[in-house]
Amino acid sequence: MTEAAPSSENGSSSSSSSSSSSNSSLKLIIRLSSSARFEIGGGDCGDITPSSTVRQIKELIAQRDESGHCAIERQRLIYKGRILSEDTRTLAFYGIEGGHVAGNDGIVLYLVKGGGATGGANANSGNATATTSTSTPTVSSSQPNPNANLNSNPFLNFGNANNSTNSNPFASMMNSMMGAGGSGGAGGGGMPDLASFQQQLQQNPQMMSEMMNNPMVQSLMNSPDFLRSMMESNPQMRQIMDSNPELRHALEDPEFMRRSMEMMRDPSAMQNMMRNQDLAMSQIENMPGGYSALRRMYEDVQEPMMDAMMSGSSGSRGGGDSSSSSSGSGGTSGQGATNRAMPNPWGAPAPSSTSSGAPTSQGGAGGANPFASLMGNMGSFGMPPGAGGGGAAANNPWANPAMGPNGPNLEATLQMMENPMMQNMMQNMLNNPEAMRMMMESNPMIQQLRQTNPQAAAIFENPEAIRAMMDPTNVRAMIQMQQAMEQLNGSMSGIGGIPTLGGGGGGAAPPAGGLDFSNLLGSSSNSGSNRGASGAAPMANPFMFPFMPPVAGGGQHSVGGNASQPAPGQRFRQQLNSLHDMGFTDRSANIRALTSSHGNVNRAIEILLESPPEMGNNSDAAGADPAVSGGNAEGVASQNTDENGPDESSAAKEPTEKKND
Amino acid sequence: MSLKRINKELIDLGKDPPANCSAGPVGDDMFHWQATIMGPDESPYAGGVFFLDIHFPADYPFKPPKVHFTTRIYHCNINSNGGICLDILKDQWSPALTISKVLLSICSLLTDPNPDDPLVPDIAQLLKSDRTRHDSNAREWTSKYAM
Repeated sequence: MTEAAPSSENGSSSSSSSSSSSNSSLKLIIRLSSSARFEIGGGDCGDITPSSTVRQIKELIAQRDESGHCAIERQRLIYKGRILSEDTRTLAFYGIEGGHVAGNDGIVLYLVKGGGATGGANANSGNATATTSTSTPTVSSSQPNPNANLNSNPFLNFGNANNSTNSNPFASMMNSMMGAGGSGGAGGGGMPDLASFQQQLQQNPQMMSEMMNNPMVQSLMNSPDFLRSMMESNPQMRQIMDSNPELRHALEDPEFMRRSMEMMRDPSAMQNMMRNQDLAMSQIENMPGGYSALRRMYEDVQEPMMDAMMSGSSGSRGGGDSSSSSSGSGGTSGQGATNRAMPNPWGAPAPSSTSSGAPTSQGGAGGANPFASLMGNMGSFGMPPGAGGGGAAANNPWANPAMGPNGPNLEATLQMMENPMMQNMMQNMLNNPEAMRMMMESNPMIQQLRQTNPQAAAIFENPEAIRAMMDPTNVRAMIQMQQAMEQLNGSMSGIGGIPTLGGGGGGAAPPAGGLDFSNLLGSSSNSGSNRGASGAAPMANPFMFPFMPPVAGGGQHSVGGNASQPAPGQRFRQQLNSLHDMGFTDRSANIRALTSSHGNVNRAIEILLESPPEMGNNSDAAGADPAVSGGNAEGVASQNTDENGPDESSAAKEPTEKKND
Repeated sequence: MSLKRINKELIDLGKDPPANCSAGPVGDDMFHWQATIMGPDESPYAGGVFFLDIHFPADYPFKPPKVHFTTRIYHCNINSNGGICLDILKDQWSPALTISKVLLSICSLLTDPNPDDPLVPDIAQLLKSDRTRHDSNAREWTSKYAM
């Protein structure tokens, strides 16, 4: 986001001052969807200038009876097809200025009252839900504290760790640890609380930004030294960075990271991305070959997973456990996790929630996966979000959790682990191998992992390794790495104005991470990553198509009106010749006439005779008479009755004739 | 020529904005607009704000503008690409039509879907057989994607 006007932060209060420096006051007409309207500004109640902030406008609206005293956070103001989404921006930023409004009518804004879901989430207003009773002494500013999603008090349930139900914070912590450090297994997996978290995240993109606004995250971001030392202190991290100079570069560039964070913090940008991702997903479906690619991915990944779930334990446990069970190779489940979004809403038009864990999370996955969409969309579709996300997740178990809901969850986990009490407890536990083993064994997920992956089993046997994994510093490093990964993916595709580069970025970066990872922890994800790569490759190309046409189109557009000639010129070549033979030498006028007469030479001659030939850019005629607007050819079709009277009727008849066909 | 016409439409939209719709250029490129349609009150899409993308062809207004939804919507005449099945955007286009009229037509399409000429047969089927469920699906999608 660039800085808008010099006075974007105008002080929150009082819109009354008439001191508005050079700006003229505006009159806004607020239209409601029920076609009711009312005016604000214009001396009525407080002056509005282009430097007023959106929030000031909303405050004014909230005071009015006509709006039903609509709460500020429920207001959505729309101007010229845009939502004025950022309260701190000025009207001028959104192009609302006095200059281009003809007459004194005022500028029309539309007011739509939002639903409770988005409204309640708006945390920057005072009266939004202040009631969440989080018992954790964490930072105050962020209302939807991530911790609250796990469990308001992690320690209450901690005693039950041995039972390790999935809702148990420790289990989920373990699970996300697995996602980050272990098999990449849990991934975006079917754990119930993750699913709900996902769902929540989808309904509430602001939560994401809240999380990003969390001082802790921010301070982390703003301290490059700390970041670097953290990474350097982590041998695994160092290894990865050594083998990947590119990644090192990304990781060491705080500006780079900060920018991506900024992006995530902007709710409107996030929302846009989510929207775009949905669309992109469906576009892939309609690409030649895209659908089959999707289906293959679906069949390869989704169905085995579903099967696994069916055979796994029943109930809500099923989702979590078996998604990790099928994740003997981290790649598979990662792919599955991202994949889920694809078959969903458009494939099955009735998005109702089903009983088992996975389908429920399916519902959210498409829109809810902010990281994946971020990744895909940062490349402005240079890379297919679905495929790229899928591919990346498959190949890159590190990135995977970040793209799934695990990313934020990790943050919560981290907070939890930073708590001294928690650390103490962990310490005690880790020092007691017996208790440790018991816990591990009671958790089917970990058991599965151990069975499928002897190396992982070895890790679990080693309390040192587990302690290292639990070390908040390491976890943080992991989170950083995930973010860097996805940043990397995004930026690579950002280059992707050039299709090959974009595709290359999508394809190339993730495997690198994937291989590193498998080296590191010896997970057997090679087959998975191969499949992922092949999955991504065919998608990358089809997806280039929607990206390219706008570019081509843009080029054409910039040429402007001249470009209009070739098409009809070609089409009416014969008629043009005959017109020319008859002495109508103004080719462009001929084309216009022919176009509006649908190629009928006789009618074209009538048109030409009635209005003397003129160049297409005769601005006076078009500008003065709004009905003519673009020269006589369209004047024929519009309401201009003076000079083109007879033609108008005939032109108007045309469509109706066609309708009868 | 087309640029002039598009400019004029923009001014007209400012002067006499249609109910429930709003549109304007995305950036400096006058051939690329964005638009919003507010779900009509009497439809299951009420309360939703639907975004559309509009591309004007270089030979506008002789060719129809390319309009598609960027917000998902549960509607039998609007497919998963956001493509809209509307005759005036295809063979029934007339240079006398404007973006404002097109948007109004889309609005009325939201109020009165046309299941006899569906783009998404499943939805059309449901609309015909079980209107209540169709409407509740539409509402669900609206609150999911357009609020």
